[in-house]
Amino acid sequence: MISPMMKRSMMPAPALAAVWAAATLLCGRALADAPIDGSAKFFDHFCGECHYEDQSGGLDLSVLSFDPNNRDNFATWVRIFDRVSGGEMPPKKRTKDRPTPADIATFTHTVSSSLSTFESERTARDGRAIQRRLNRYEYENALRDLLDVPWAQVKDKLPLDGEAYRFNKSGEALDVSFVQMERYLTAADYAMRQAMSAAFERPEKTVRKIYARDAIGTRYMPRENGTLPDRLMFPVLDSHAQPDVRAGRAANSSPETREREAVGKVSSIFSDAGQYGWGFNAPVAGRYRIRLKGYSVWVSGGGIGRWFYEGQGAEKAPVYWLPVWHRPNADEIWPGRNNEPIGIYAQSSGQTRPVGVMDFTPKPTVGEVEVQLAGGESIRTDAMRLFRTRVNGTDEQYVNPLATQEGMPGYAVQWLEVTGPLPDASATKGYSLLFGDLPMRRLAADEKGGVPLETVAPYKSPPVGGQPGGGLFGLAGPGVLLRSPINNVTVEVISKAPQQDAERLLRGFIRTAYRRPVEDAEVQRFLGLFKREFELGSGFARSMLTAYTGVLVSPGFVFVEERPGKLDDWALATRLSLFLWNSTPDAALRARAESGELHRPAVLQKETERLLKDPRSRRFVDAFTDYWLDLRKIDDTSPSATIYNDYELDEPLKLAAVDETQLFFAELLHKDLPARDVIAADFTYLNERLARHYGIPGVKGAKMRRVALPPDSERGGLMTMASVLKVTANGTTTSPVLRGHWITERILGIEIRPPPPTVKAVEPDIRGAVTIRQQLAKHRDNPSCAACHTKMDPSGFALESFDVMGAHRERYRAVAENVKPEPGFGLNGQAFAFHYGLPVDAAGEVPDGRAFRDVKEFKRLVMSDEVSVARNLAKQLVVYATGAPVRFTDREELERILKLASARKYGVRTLVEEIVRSELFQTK
Amino acid sequence: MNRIFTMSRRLFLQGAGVAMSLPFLDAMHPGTARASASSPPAADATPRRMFGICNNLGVRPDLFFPTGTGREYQASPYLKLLEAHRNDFTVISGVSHPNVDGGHPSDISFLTAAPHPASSSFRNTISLDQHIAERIGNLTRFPSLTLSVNGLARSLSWTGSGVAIPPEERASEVFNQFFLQGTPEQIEAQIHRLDTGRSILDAVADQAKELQGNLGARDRTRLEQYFTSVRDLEHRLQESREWERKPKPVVNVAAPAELNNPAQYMDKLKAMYDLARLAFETDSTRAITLMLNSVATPVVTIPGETITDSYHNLSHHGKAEEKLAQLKVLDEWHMKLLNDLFNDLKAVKEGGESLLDRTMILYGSNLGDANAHSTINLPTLFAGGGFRHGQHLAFDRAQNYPLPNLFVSILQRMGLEETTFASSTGTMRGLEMA
Repeated sequence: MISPMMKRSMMPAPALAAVWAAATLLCGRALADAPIDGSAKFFDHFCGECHYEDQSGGLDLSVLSFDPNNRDNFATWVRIFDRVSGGEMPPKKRTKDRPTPADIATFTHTVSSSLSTFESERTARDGRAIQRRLNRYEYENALRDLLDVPWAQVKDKLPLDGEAYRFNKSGEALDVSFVQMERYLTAADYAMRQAMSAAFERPEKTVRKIYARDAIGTRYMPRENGTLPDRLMFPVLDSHAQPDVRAGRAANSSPETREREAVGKVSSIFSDAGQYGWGFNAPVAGRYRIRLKGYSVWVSGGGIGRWFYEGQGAEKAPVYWLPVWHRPNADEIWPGRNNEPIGIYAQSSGQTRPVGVMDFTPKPTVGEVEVQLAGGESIRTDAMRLFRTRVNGTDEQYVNPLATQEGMPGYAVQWLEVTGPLPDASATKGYSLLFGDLPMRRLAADEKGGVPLETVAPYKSPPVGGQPGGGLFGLAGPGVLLRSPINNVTVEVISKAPQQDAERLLRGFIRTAYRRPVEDAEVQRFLGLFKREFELGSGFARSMLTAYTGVLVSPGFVFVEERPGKLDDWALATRLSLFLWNSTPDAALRARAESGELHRPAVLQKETERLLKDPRSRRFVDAFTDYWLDLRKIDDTSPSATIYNDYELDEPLKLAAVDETQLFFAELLHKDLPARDVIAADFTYLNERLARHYGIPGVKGAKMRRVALPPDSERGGLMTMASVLKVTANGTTTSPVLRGHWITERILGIEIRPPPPTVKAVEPDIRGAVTIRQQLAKHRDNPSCAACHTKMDPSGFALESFDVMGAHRERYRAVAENVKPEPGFGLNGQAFAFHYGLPVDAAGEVPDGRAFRDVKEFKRLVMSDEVSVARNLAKQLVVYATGAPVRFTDREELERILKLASARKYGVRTLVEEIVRSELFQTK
Repeated sequence: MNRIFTMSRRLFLQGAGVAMSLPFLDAMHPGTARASASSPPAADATPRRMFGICNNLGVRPDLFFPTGTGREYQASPYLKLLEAHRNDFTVISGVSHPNVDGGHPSDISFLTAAPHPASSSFRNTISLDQHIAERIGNLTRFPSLTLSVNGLARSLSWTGSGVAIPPEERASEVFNQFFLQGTPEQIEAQIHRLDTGRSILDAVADQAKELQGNLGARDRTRLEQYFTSVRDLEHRLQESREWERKPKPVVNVAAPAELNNPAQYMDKLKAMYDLARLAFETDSTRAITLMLNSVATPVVTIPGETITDSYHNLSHHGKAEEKLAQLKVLDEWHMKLLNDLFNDLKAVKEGGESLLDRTMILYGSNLGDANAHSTINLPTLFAGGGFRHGQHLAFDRAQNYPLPNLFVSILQRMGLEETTFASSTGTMRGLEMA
């Protein structure tokens, strides 16, 4: 855009400074309100044409003062510095009156030193980062580690953290309200009582074998009109049907066949009704080994689609029925034709979480998985690939998407065996920290005081062959939902010398909980809580917990304590473990801090290596990617039930997608692979479901494993991962601008200004008459839009080859009344409503003009600037590790880090290590 | 095992699946927490109440939904039974909670709108009543009341800490808690617990003040925020404490009878409605939820009628005439009891208005059609509270309007400055305050 020559009164240059000074005095403005020395001259000569009256890009240099205390003002000056020193401003198009290199040097030098002087003073006074509390992930891990309660659900009790610089690691994002306080109090007390529960009753390790025929019940036939057989269970023996058992003419179980009997299903247990459980509840929190035996089957079609009953109550009997080809006929069963992935879940109070996977094959196999369960949690097992019945409107008709004219796949479970709790030396460690070796005693109902603990009612085996009439389990009607088996006991801790024990234990506790030396006055402060409580007659345990609660919600525990300047060893230890374990330091790291050696380079390096090698470093990978890549938002949108109902309810796909990204990044970290692999790599992590989604052959089974990608694969790297593609879409449509912006900022590290407020959002046309790309053509045509959009859109266009769940597409899906939809049914059993419309055009140009035809070429172009990719990753890691972004005066140190890392191809692990070694990490 | 859950604070802690801890933090006084910066209504503002009822088998849609829309709608057979109160309620069609599917398990999302309750990784979120209780719960002795008929395992009330509040099944027990004076011993015990909380907060506030002294100006602001939050919480505990010393209200009605048989569904329901009215009348609480666990109910006893199948089986009528007829009997009883509730609330005067005008009643279901396990087109009746009622708000039955929008309207009527709740997109279109 060429601005017309303006008639301006231009003062001759030398007089300008005098005029400015005079103006300053006249207006009484403080010197700080004046722009940076000499800048006015520069602006007048080289910038005013666009940036005075015209205020190009919203920047009015005629009134720009230097007010570094104002964050926006400071950022503006940094931007000015960057654009001028980078040669972007004045724009190349402007050929007249260009500044000489000397002009630029003088100007940028002045600006730079003004900015640096201010910032350095600030840093010396306040440090780079503002003080902060632990975020909710860190607090959960801190409690879990301190009290040895890895199963404790603490994070969910705390309010969501804010976000600053894209992470939850900065004080600006981490407020304290009294919601926070109240929840800390709740969470701390809960976690401590979990530790006590774990020590109270240590049931012997037992092996419980639960036969499906006993647990799942005998109700195979529906009792009401209209119950579709897709959700029903059916008896299976040696991969064949048992019509007599099914009809109730033969016993549900007999000794000769017991070990081979199974219960089958053609749908997922996460359907809209007809759930079942195994009836097992973990008696105590701990580790359990779960073994599941079963196999896949094939079920004939032609099952009953509609029953019609006559009579009521006991006389009710079917009058006639209608067979339908896609309904299962459970009286005709055959050996399975494929493997079925099986998911294992833990459930309590209606809330479920996945804990393991295995595969069923046509021949019976036993799968085994070790899991951590909370007390009272129950086990659910499910064939993850099978459909999850959902109604459309009010018509309970659905079609099994996997049904063919020849039948449909199903699975049959024989038994579930749970061994546990497994011996765990750490089970009583939490209790030892709280109460040493003082014994616990259960209080009688009439005794006062004590602390309530939750325990689980003793397990009762179901009768062989199941409860007659279905009973509590099985299709007795979903109304008889499982009651919680949680009981409560009240316990007291016995101390013969309460005052001495209290002081001794409390001192030990605070020393372990606080992350620096503890003054005696602090011990006395919390001891006062104990004394007060104890004198009121609350008993030893309650009184101790009161004091301990105080410690766990106090600033000494909740805040990360750092002083401006070089961090002392204690603060360094905390920063290191919050970085690499997302938790507080363990005993070994504390020992290094205590001995004053941690800051020594060799010691620090050794501890860094130790922490990285430990399995707990996975928490760093998960928390970092949760925020850097927004993986925590994976559930924020759901695939559209109209356009994408093949993805709707496909949780295994979603979970595999998240796993892929986390496992991939973990490998980059542990194997020190180059940072540029985030753009394109020759491997990834897949299981069968995800591989099928990507169209990659030869991957079988439900477990995630490393897979070498074929050389011409478009997958590899973060941009083309299903998880990233999902969080950058909205379940219904994709937007090249949103995806492009996300990729450009988060992965390429280029900051994009927000759009001008008057721009309206584009509404994608799901009827498919026009592609989103066509709608965005205006951006290319308008130069002021193009400034940002040429930087931002290219990656978005390249990624148009992927739909809302990251599958490759050549054409867009659309929905329109007059167009016949694609044949097929989604995982919800409802027919597809979409058709394939306009073709996808994934070509584009990167900002410097080089063109690409598809995402593969795009990645190649971007990879060539590996320093930028590494720089961006390093910046993200710096925010995560230190709570403050790379600021103006930090840039030099960042470049130094990159230079050192370049020797190792900017390996991710090397970047982490260099960051730890740097001043950015070792000062506040 | 039949654990009896009472509302006394100590025993309440021992409720099933309730990971509650220190008494002053339990569900009885979530009024200690406030999630947003919005300020609650002043203590002397007009008291407003909310009563959320979920019949988890719903009602026959063909007999519930009216024909016609707006103020001129023609009452359906069921709505005719509420004719006397036509101008005091709004019937709403074409609404549901976005992404709340999965059939029967969706009842626990009725007041939370948390999506996909039947999924393999479901976590519930805060319910409407608990959201209200957190903000204004300290204005009444009991911040909220969670009730159910025939269902200890299914709760409508979920706290911000992600925990279900076990519902109270026995009206007689609630009555005692509300109106039976506590023994001096019990009162002292409650006060003790609140004081414990305050002493903890005192100690940490002291530490915060001490640590602040060693910090630079910028860091001090963070500790200052901590300190203020602690003092805030202490203040609320103090308010709770004062409730302990106040005598409970005196009522001139007898305690409700014990009803132990699940078949006495309608009697239990009536008892709960009476209790709710009493609770609102004495301002003992302002947020009540009632889960009608019809799914878990056996054959219901209705005087003068013959019901031959369990409630759930009836709901799967498959269009059988006999079953549809029996279902109609049950549904009509629901309407009759609602009618009585409206009458009773109207008869109570408060500050120149009727109690009904100050009480928002949501009667609905998580199922739009139990026969099909459908979770859309939910039958929704919204009464009282000071809105312009007497209309049929008919939204799109093909593309449902979000029910959480009604929740935002409710929150605003309660005097809270909320603009969103769960998956809402605004307040409910067409529903205006009177």
